[in-house]
Amino acid sequence: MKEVHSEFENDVVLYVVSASPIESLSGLESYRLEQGYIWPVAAPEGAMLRDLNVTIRSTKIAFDADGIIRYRASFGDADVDEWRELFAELVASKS
Amino acid sequence: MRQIGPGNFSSRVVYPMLGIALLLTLACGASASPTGVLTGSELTEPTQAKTEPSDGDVALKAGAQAVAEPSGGAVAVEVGTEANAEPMVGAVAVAVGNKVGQQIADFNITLIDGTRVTSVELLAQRQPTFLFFFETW
Repeated sequence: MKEVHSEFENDVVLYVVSASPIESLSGLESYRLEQGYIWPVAAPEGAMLRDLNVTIRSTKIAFDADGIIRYRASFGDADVDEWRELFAELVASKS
Repeated sequence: MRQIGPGNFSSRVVYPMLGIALLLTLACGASASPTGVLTGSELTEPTQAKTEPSDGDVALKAGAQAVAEPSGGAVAVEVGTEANAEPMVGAVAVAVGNKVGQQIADFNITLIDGTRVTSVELLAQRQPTFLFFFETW
């Protein structure tokens, strides 16, 4: 995903959000640096994890320019073509 | 003895009966179904569409394309069925929730530098966004 997102980074923002209310942002930042991710890390506020039904780590949610959820997955990963197709869809929603 | 011939029978019996039948038809016709059989809509009490999400955290928003995940039982799309309801032009209600096809629920996050990012701001900017939830332990 890292390579594919770099093609769309000007149009699709990506945040690494803590999946646990007790996860420290500094711990998550260390993880980001280890992995070489360029995406900013963030802490959820309020009932965000409950509202978005995030119960396990590695949950991914993508929404388009209208706020419609286009992708949701937990464990597992899409392949390069699937990521590219998703990001292209997200970008297209802006027009 | 006076005999009733075909002409007399018509004028004394058939025509008055036809007249009575016509009057009865006119008297009842305004409220009866043309076919004399009640149709489905006549049998059904007029109802107003109700939207009762089965999930407490699902609400409705308008202004985007309606796409509901088939398996999601918590989707409620408003349908205007009242006779005097305003027609919805170009706006279709979409459920708010956390499934594909739903409008994302409002959220706020805080970046490590203290910057606060809200879904309201992202949507105001029409900014497609990818959230990757993770924990290190």
